[in-house]
Amino acid sequence: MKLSIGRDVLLRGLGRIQAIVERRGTLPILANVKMDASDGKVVLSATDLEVGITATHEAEVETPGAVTLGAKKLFEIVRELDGSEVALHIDDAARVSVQSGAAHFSLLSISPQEYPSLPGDAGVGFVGLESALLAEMIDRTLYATSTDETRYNLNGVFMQAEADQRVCFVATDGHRLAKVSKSLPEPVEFLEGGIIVPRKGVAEIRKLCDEHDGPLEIGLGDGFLLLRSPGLLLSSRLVDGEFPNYRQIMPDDHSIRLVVPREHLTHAVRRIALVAPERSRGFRFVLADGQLEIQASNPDLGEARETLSVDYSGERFETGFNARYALDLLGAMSAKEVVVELKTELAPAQFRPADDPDEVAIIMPMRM
Amino acid sequence: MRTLAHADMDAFFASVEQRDDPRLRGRPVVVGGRSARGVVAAASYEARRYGVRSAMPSVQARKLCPDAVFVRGDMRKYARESGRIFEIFRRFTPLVERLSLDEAFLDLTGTERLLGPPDAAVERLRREVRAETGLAVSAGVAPVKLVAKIASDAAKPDGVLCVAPAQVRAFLDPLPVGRIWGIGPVARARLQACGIETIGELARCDDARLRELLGSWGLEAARLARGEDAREVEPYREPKSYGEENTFADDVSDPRRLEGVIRAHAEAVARRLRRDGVRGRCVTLKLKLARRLGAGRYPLRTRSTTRPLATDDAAEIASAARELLRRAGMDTPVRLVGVAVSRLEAAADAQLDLFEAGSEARGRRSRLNRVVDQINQRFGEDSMVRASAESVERAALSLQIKRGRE
Repeated sequence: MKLSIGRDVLLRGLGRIQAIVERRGTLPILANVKMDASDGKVVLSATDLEVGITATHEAEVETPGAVTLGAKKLFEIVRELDGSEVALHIDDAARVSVQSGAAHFSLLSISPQEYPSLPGDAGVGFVGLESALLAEMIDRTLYATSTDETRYNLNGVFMQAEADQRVCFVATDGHRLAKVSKSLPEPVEFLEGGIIVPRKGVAEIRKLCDEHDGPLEIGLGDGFLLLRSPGLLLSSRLVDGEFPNYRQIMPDDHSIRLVVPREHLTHAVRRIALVAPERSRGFRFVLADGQLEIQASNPDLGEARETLSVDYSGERFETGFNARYALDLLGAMSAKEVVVELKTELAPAQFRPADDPDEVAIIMPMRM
Repeated sequence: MRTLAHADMDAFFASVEQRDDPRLRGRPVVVGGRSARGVVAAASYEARRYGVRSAMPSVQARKLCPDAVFVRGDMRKYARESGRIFEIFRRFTPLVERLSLDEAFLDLTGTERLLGPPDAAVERLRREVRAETGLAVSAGVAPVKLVAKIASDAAKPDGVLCVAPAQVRAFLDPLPVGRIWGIGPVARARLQACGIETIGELARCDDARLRELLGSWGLEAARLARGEDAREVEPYREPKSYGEENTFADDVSDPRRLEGVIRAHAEAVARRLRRDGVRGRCVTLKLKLARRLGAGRYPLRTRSTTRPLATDDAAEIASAARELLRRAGMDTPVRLVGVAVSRLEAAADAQLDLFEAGSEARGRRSRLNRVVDQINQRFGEDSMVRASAESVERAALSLQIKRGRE
């Protein structure tokens, strides 16, 4: 293999895969990037066997061939190079020379034959989707996924087709849940049964949305979700598990409905939660005539309270929430006002943006 | 200057047995297992005269004192008595540090106006324990823990010894160095080889020499020898885990029997979790295999599982531990089995769960547990227990017999 590639092109290609390659893995080759050179292009591949990416970049290829190199180190090296072109060629079976300007590196490599093959897009049906829409749906839900390995079926975002060409994304960690549903230009049949895409895969998809203005394509391979844009294919293994029946726990009615300015509520909770107990982060949410009071107390610190005027005229109502959950969901919304719907002290509380009926977040109260 | 007391029950387990069974009074009583593996848990003063000591193998105790009456011991009864005794301790000061079922430090600093001089207060404490439980407690009073503990030992049986701050050095000086906590046989031999036999000699030894003999610990030992012991009475240590374990009299390989014991341990652990208002997410199974590695050493296997939801329910703990047992794939007999719960969180202040697996059922079980706890509190532990497969079989059998008679 012998090629020359623009330094900036290579740097962007390597930067994109840094979060995908495995760092402390059991298989050393998964820390490497695979480079496949053929006429006029080089394909970079990276995977940790859960998430994989292949991206095609223009290059001047003198002799085709393939090689794998440590992805992190190569990225660091290319970042520091000051030439505009980078020349790569295989010195011998185990070494690759990297040259740019007056700098020269000779790096150890692992044979590309050992590199796992990544899922391809042959025979997969794709559906087009605006990247901005996909990004928004991820932003509204990804935060609510669970990081608890004992609840592996909650370690991702559930994606499912709904009626009227809609697709919903749902995420939950068992204490809170976020759901967003959007109408798409064409039906997504392969999402009818619903799939769970792991957190890491969703996060990588989200990054690609920023890179690509305009349409992206999604498709379902054998056990993988595929995301395609010209010259790029991202694959994410699906979580092999059943997503809980979340519809069953979505509140279908409420006894209290409040409209609260989102920013105002966010700041009040953030302030008052400063004295909430470190471990539970619990604060009290108290409604009395015409006002909402946010309270926190901590045996080691003291107490704090702040009132917001709200349109409420019922009996005194008191419940408690984890401040982190409340701040997460308020931060994931962009509406000026949020609608809060409550039923009883210990029933799930529903938050939704006042201007968007397609979006909802639920948190379970704390017994305080 | 602080005023600390060390209170230590006299031959606690043995005294409880002698109190409850008049036939044992005045006779040498040994509490502990009779079997080949048994050890002496406690010996009455009558038995101690023959040289029987706690932690001694039962076989040796029987040789020393052939007339001794061996009693199996009832830890539940001792724990109950211990609870009553500690309640009495707490009338005198909230700063009670429990060392074991029968031993505690009490910080009496600043109680003089309320309780009178410390020696009088301690005498009253001993009288109240005697009057309410019929048991004898000895006590040592001193400005530091080390001296209070040595003093209570010197006061035994059934006495008090107060060491005033000015007398601390004179009290410690003539005692052998081995009386200091942390100076075991090895350190003692090393000190003796250099002519240091008594605590007084250790106190006067210069730092360089001590460092040479015992390392940095030597300086600490010398400080203790001079009666300088900065350790405070720590009333309560928050436990990081709750566990129960037992060593079998014979090695067990029958899985049904192991599961039965696991179930019993889970019950006990769950009860203690509920009593203290905590729940745990991590369940650990501990197994000691019967295959011997060397003198007193056996392979230890521990297996843990972390569950999505914290629990204080015996059935949940037992099922997690049984699953661990199955996965451990035991093919050798076991001499010890233990169950523990860790990763604790407060049961109150609980974050509720959206999908709590059968949250209805869990809520019902939690209410049931509460009722069972209340019944057991009122009528004594184990008045009501969860039925096991065997107990159900037994009950069905006796029902059949009764019906047959009718």
